[in-house]
Amino acid sequence: MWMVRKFYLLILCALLSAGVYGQQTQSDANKPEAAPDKAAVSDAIARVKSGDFAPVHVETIAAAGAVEAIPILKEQFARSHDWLIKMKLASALVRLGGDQDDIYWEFLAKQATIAVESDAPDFMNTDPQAKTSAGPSPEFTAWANAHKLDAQEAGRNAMYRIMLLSLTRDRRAIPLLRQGLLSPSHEIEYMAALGLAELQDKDSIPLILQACKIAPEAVAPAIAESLVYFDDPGAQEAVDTYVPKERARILREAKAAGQKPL
Amino acid sequence: MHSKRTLLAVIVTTLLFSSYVSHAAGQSSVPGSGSQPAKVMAPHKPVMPAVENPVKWPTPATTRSMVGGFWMTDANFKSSIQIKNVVETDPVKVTPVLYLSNGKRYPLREVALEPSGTAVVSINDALKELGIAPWATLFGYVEVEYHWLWDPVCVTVISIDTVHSVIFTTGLTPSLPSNPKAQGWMAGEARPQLIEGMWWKQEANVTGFVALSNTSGRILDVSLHVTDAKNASMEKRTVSISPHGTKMVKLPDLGQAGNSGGIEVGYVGKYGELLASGGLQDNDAGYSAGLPFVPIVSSSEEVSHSSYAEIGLMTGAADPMMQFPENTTFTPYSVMRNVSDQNATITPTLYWMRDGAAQSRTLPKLVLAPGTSHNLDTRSLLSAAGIASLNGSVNLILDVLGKPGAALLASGSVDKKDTYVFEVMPHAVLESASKGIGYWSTGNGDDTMVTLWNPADEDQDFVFTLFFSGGHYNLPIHLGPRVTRMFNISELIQNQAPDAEGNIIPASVHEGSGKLSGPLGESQHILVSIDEGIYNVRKATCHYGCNTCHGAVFNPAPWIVDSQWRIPKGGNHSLTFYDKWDTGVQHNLTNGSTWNSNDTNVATASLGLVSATASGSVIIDSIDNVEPWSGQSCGSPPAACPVDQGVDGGGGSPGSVTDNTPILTGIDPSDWSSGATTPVTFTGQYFGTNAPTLTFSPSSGISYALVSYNDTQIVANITVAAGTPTEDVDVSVTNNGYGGLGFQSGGGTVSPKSAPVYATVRAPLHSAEVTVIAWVNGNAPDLNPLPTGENSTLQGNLQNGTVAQRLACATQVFEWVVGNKANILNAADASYANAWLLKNSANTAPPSTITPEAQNSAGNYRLINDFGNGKSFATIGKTPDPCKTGLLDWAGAGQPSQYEGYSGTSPSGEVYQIAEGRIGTAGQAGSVTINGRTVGWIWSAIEFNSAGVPTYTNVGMFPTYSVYVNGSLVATYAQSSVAAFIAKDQTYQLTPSQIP
Repeated sequence: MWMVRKFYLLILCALLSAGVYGQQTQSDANKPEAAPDKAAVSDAIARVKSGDFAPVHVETIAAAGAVEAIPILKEQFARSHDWLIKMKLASALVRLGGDQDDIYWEFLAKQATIAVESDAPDFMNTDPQAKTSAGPSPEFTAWANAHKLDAQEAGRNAMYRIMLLSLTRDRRAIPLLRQGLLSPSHEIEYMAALGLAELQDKDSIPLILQACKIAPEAVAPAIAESLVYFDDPGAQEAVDTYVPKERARILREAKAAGQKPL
Repeated sequence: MHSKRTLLAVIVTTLLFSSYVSHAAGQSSVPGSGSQPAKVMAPHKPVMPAVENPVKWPTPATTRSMVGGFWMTDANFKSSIQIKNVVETDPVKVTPVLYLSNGKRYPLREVALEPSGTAVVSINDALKELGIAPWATLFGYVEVEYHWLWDPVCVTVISIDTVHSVIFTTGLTPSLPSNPKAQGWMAGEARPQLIEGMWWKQEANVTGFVALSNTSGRILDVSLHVTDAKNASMEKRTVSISPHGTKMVKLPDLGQAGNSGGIEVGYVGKYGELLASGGLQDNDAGYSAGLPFVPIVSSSEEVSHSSYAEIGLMTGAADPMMQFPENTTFTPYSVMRNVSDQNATITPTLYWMRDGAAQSRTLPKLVLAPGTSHNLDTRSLLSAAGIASLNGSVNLILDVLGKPGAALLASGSVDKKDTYVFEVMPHAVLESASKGIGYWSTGNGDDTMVTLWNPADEDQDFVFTLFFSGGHYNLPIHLGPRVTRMFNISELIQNQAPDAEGNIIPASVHEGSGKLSGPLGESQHILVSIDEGIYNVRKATCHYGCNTCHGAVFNPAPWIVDSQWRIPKGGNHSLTFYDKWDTGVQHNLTNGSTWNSNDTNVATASLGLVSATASGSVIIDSIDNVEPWSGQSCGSPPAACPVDQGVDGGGGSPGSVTDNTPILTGIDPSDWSSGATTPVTFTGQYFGTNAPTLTFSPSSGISYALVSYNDTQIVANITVAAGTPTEDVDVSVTNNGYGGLGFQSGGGTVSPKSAPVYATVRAPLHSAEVTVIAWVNGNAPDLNPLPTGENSTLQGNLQNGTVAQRLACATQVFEWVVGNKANILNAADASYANAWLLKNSANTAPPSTITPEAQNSAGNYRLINDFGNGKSFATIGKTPDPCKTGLLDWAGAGQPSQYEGYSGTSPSGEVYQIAEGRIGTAGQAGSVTINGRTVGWIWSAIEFNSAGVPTYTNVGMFPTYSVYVNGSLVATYAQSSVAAFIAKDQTYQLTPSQIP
């Protein structure tokens, strides 16, 4: 039964992918979210240029659309040995339109592909009989050991890969995110659904709904939270179905206030 | 004093043939013989340079002498002493002494000899000065005394009867030879001694005599046994000779002309105490010749080849240039006797010159039984060689296969009337260095003929130097293979041709001495036979001079300059190896010698350079195996140039290698307790007399105060601060010098600092172990309740109940980590987020008693610091996942500061250990997103003073610190508010310099 559901989802994904590629644009991705403080932007650029910076400084630059910082971001991308910083810099460069050669996009896509194509099981214990839901689950630990990976790092990095791809708000991410909905890991499904909501890919709503249907009872509310951000009756109906009312209310208020899923 | 008289040069001649002899003899080129012996090559050995600035020799001069020289006077005989100063660098003074036949001693006037100078002392005149009638029939022997380091003169005594044209020549030999081998023969108690001689009868009227001189201070009973050619006895006699006396014994009737035989002289005494000489004479014909004698030394040496050269034997009509009467023709003679106890096989080879090239012919060999003699039929030999009609000279080379020294030889040329007798002294054909000629004369009708023969099959160049009063003259000589050259000294004088230095021999010069050497100097090895004859046609006399083989002398011994040297380990020192020759010239043998060390662990040496490797005493010696010994050939028969060669450094050069690197050999006691001061005695060497420095590694917590010190012992109070863990400590001593001066290594690899020796610091079991645990107290007042005012989304996201909540929570935190300030809209949101995250990642309070190691392993802390009681660890803990997903290790592996686990000693002497860290890099990233600033550090510093009293109050403001002493909770330092800590940034940190 569980495998049959996955199979249906796979077919649905295949039917929708052609339209996804036709809809992707980068204009939305380049749109500034807000108007950050100019001094904060200048400070952020200086910090990045100095090499002593945090992801928040990169985010400040990207959010402000400070394209003048693109060379600096590229330089730091080349210099940095921190994987997460590289991901953040690549994501910002894509958002700022500083990726004419798709170098950074391909970097991000490659990282996300690792996550969505992984056969890793759930990181958390979704078995209701388990004493705690905190991971890593025995299955995930076994998988990580088999792949000679650190379990926590492998679980965490999969989430980062999907998140930072989604935060580009580049619609080229949609196929990978939809593929994420097919992951045997519900953490990947959950993060992919948020990404699709971040990209407002309404065509993926059926896929998310399907994912909710086949997800364990403990996980379905989490996946369904992404549907809050679609102005779609079916999506909202599913929210009411899976998400606790109070949580749904809070999320809908946030959406109404302009907040995004990520 | 004069008891040890000997004919040592004769011994050397007969006993010490080199291997060259056997080769040279067996390989002589014999044209037409069909054999192709290997060629005899000239020496090509390195030439040791002469020292331009001679060093002062350490050996003092001694009074020495030479003895021998039978002399006789009567109405016709006049005797003279020819003295040659072999030393070219210094004048020499000598005192001749006459011993009459009755042993009476008569010292004569001192004679001063200039460098290379010669002197002739008339015995007749001397006797007259002594009031003794010089025409009286007197005879005896001569001693020449001098105060010198070695025997610096060469002396010959000539007794000449010009009326009858009779002349006898005898030489002197050192009374105490410097030659080590000869010294060995003279050692020991009196025992039977034997001197072998030889006679021959040149013509029918020849008679002979033997002169026996007792050089000892006691009566010697001497036996005289005359034998014929077949060693059959002819006469036996015994005579007693008084101390220092001389007796002449007439030989019996020697039978027919052409006969030959032996003379055995025996006595009981020490080697060399009895001197034997003699002559053959026919006053009517004017014939005279000296008899050869040789002391016998028993030898176990095997049969081998020896080669003797009798060169310049005149044959046929006399050279007109020599101004002999017309129709004077010469015939060579050569007589030989086997004085060994085994057969000797003798093979003669004749060499002569034709058209400037050497010719040769090897003749049938003959075998001499022990004791037998043979007078060669030289006419038949010349005929056999096809040169019966040759007018000129030939060289007769005798290859002897027998025991070394078996052949006793005599040779020369005699005219038909037996008036002119040119004695030729047989010489062993041996490699040598330069050779000296003791005397030449061109005065009073004299002339001196010099004959040179090159025994090698290759060209050789020589320089013949004539010494005369006031100068010298160099004559370059080139000799082709086997070539003979003869010349008269008078020709050189008459030519008046300047030499290469522009010197000429003044026409007024009529006497002097000479030297034949290689062109590279006196020490160049050469292979040459040389003979000189001083003849007087008017007087019809001829005699030989005193030949010298130049070489190293043994008194003084060869010397390595510099001794008792001291060099540091790793250093070098140059030694120079000198020897001194009988000419007075010093030679530097350093580069041509083999250098040895008696202890290569201490030092090695090569080419004079000593390389020091370890401290200790060492003797460096040097050996030169080719340096020839000096020798004289003044006897009858003359000695060959000594083949003895090889000198060493006179016992070597003692020195020492110093290593004043301090050596620490003892530390008592070597166990030092933490928190205590221990009097410690350090023993060893080379600590110096200035205050030494003690060095410890690790040095933390260890200090010292010197109580006393000297070069071998240091007493110091060692203080080890409490809390210093049990550990091995390297202790080193640094020598700071002596007497106020700094350390003087002297070079090399010597170090002022000793190698380390271990001591052990032991932390007393009763000392305190302090453990400080930093933990986040989730029940702190500012976290209960949490701050308010946060937005609802944030509040909703930061939940960790259901799986969905935990995922949403993790996503929220992930966003902050990647720089998204999601849901942080104001300070209240930030305050709430900080507090919520800390409250939900709080640690459980540690118990009141702990086992530090167990607590460390359990990991329920942000930081743990343990120090004291010989223990030490500092660990940064993990931050629990506030969202309870297990995904967030955003502070999982906390970040240690550069001072994490750092221990040291503060300026006030406190030993401390720091534990210091903060949340991991992901957590820091999230915090920077939320709060806009970096994250401060948390820390604990545990300190012990010298009394072992701990201080543990030095902790960060956050979180809560629980302090345990020996596992029991003794103090808890509450955490500051989260807001206060969040207000700090990364500059909030403890550094070691902040610990007083």
